[in-house]
Amino acid sequence: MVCRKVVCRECATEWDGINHCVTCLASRRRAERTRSSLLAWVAVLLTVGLLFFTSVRLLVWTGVFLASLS
Amino acid sequence: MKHSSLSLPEVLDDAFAVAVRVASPWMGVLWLTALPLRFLQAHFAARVFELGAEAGEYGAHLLELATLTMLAFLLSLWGRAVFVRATGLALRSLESAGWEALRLAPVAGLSYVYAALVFEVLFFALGWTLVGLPLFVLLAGLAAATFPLNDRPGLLRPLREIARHGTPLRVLLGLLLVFGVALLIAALNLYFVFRLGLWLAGGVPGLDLTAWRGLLELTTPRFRLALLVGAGLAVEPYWLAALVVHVHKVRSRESGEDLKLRFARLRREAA
Repeated sequence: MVCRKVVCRECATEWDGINHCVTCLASRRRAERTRSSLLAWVAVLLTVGLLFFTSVRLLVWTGVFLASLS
Repeated sequence: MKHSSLSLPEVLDDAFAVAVRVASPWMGVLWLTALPLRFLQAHFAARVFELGAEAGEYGAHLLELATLTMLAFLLSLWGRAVFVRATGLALRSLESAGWEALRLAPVAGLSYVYAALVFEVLFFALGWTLVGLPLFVLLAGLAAATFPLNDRPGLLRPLREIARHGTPLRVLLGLLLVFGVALLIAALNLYFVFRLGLWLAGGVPGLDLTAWRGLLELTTPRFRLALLVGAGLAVEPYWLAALVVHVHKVRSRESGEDLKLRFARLRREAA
């Protein structure tokens, strides 16, 4: 228990092997949400777009390269 | 955590059991979403080798085919993600996964697309060397098996999760070997199924099989590619299930979940 309050077994929720009360769980969830910032989303989305574009061209390049070897 | 306690037969046993449990309908979803990709990949490869040294002159046509292939790749990632989630849920609940398997977290899904594209790019860039091929197949499988663990967007997190579950290497290399052999056996079986079909069709009076005999010869490149596609589709669900079981076992031994599941199983058996 992070807040060190005494709660009964029924009120505690186990997560990753640690018992949490409702308040602790809610604060953890809020903290997680804050951390997943907009910037990280944009970075991943842009990278995915770039990787998709690269993979299409690379597939063609590899195909043409292998065909030229045969 | 004691990695040494994880053994290859244990992972294979559990993988087979859980794959059977989620087969209906999730194996079907996996196959249906993988089919367009596998056929487009085979068509692309056949087209490139038909064009041979002149392939470079047909850049626009190949680019069109490659774009379609990569779009089908995105669809197949969704199918893989659903199958992995269904397998994970079945492992935890000891029962078949319900429609909950379709509820994919957007963060986890995006992280999976990102990680899968990273390994796809590396595969295209270095796969032709053949040395890196099994490594990229393993990494792509681990990207699928670890995708539900990504609860925050990030460029390093999905790769870190894959690295964290990349041990014990002995078990993963064993899985690669077992499924490599399974792929060959599946292709061989499929070949004999086609030959048997051709032989049985030969008994139908008035049926001209000359064209089919030529098409179903091992010397036909498209037939060889079709065998590879079929074998890949047959093996893929068990390969993914084995990697999900591996990741689940590595994680559950850290948290003690394996003991809880064992007790639940014992209680169920006693009841």
